[in-house]
Amino acid sequence: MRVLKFLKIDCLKMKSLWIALFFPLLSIFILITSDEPNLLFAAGYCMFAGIIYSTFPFTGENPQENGFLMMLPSKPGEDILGHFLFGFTAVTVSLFLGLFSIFVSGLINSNVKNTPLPTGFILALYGAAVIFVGLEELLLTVFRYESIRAVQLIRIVPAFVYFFAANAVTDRLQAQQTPSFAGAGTLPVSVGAGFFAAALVVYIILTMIAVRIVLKRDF
Amino acid sequence: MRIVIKNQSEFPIYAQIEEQIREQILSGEIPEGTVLPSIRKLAKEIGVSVITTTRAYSDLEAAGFIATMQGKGSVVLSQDNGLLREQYLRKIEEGLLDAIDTAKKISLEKAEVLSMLEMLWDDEE
Amino acid sequence: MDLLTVKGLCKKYKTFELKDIHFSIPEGFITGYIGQNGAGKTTTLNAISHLIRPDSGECVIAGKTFEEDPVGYRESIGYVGDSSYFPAGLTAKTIRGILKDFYPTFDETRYDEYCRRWKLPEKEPLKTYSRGMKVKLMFASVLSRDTKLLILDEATNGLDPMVRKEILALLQEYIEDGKHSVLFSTHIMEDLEDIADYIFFIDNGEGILFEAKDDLLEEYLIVRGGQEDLTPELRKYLIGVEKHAYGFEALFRTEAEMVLPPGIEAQKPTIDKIIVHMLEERR
Repeated sequence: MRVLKFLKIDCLKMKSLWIALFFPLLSIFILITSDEPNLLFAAGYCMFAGIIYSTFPFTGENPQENGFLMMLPSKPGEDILGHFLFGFTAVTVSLFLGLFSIFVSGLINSNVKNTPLPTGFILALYGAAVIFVGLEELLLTVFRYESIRAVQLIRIVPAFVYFFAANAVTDRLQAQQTPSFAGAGTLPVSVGAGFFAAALVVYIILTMIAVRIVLKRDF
Repeated sequence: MRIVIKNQSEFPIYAQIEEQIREQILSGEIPEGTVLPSIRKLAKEIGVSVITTTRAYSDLEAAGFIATMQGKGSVVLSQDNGLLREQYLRKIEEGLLDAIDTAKKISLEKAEVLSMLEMLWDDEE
Repeated sequence: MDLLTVKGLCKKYKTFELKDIHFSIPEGFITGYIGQNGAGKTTTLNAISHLIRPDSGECVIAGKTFEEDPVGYRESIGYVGDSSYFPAGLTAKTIRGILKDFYPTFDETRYDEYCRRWKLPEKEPLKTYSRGMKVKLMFASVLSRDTKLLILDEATNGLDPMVRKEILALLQEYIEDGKHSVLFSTHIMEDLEDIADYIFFIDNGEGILFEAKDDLLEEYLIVRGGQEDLTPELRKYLIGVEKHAYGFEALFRTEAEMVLPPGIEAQKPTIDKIIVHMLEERR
């Protein structure tokens, strides 16, 4: 399908994938050396990176450099669908990288191994990330040809909001629960999963709105 | 076949092409029955526009030098062709009428004009 | 049959407006699109290629509008501009992959041949390409698939004369089967003088004339004379008079029922001169 081909182009345009590994590696490092590993923080940290990457397809979309891609035979809106698919994939992949980093550091640091995984919260964070990305992408769809400044702002600001908000939340929760903060008890998996499912629905709705906008505007 | 265009010439390019092909047909350089290159091929080869060669060919056809058949191209016609002959007869008439006109302007007599004609004809031979 | 029909094309910008452009290009011919910088050529071509959306009007290619068949419409156009429209990080190789994905008639072998012929390295990112190389890559990408209409926006500008000649020859080959057309805007009049079948002239957002080049060349003469030859009677038939210290030059319509007085030099015009005098007249 053509949408997948657009997704392929988005992947092609991504150059510096190696930086993506920086975050999981850093979180491994932090987790290994920690006595009270904050697994939620590790997962969230990686997803923060994912949020930044997810909107990458929207960069460099000035009509000058983009003419070739704009003229590819397709139904209007298919390229935006590709971007949204890319965004969701980026967040998901970063979540897995985060879990993977937890697993790897668990092999080395038994503290990590013994800490229960705050699945509920992780799912909630995942859902939050997905919503953030969806909103960003919608804004970017509207502004992508307007100004590079706007694009940069939209890409960076929400990600940092997410970062600091998640930080604040996990800190508060950590303060409430000692010695090993896990939060596993405080947010049941079902709630987390429910939140994520809702987030997914929101994401799909945002996608459809974006496609609508593109069809109306015609690019 | 040989086509050489002069851009600076006062004659439009289609006329130059037409004239050169016509002369080569008359001199026999392009024999009767030759299939000329297609309008588009000719345009491409000598680097002129398609409309230009189209016009040259259509003038040649009107003058009876070639005939264009759909799908087969343009063929050089025999010079004994009646249409062509008529063209030439007309051309001769024009030339003669022109001479008569000019003669009358300077009050030259018919006898004088006829003797001029004889002299020139013999000279040519 | 008309390959491209443009009707009532209008587009308004802050400082410029394209007003009611209409013209048609028949199948199998080359149309040169000329006008000064900023006259509206790029806007028109962008509208036809559907890179921008016009305020009103319609473009029909091979009987279809973009709305009716966006995929087919885009497939039938081959667009080349004077600056690269490829994302700078891609390479000729990745572009080939994209072309293969999106254009069913794309021929990899031809693409590779053009790249080889014009010495375009396969794996170097486009930011290392010179301007001329970028233009050649655009041509390679466009000529190696089936299109109905080639739209060139000042595409030959940055090319050296040898390559320009090559491109012009390729254009003539492109229309040779009588089923394809070319619409190209340029400042380089020599290109038009030779191979253009039709000329479309635009000034200040308005279409001024659309004619067969040969007809246009027959309609006018360039006349030159001394100051004293410029009588009011003569003046009536002249277009775009340019005076200089020792005389004048102007355009003269050959169908005017007037015999040029002796002392006036008349000669065959070039497209360049015709346009210059027409512009002079409009100022």
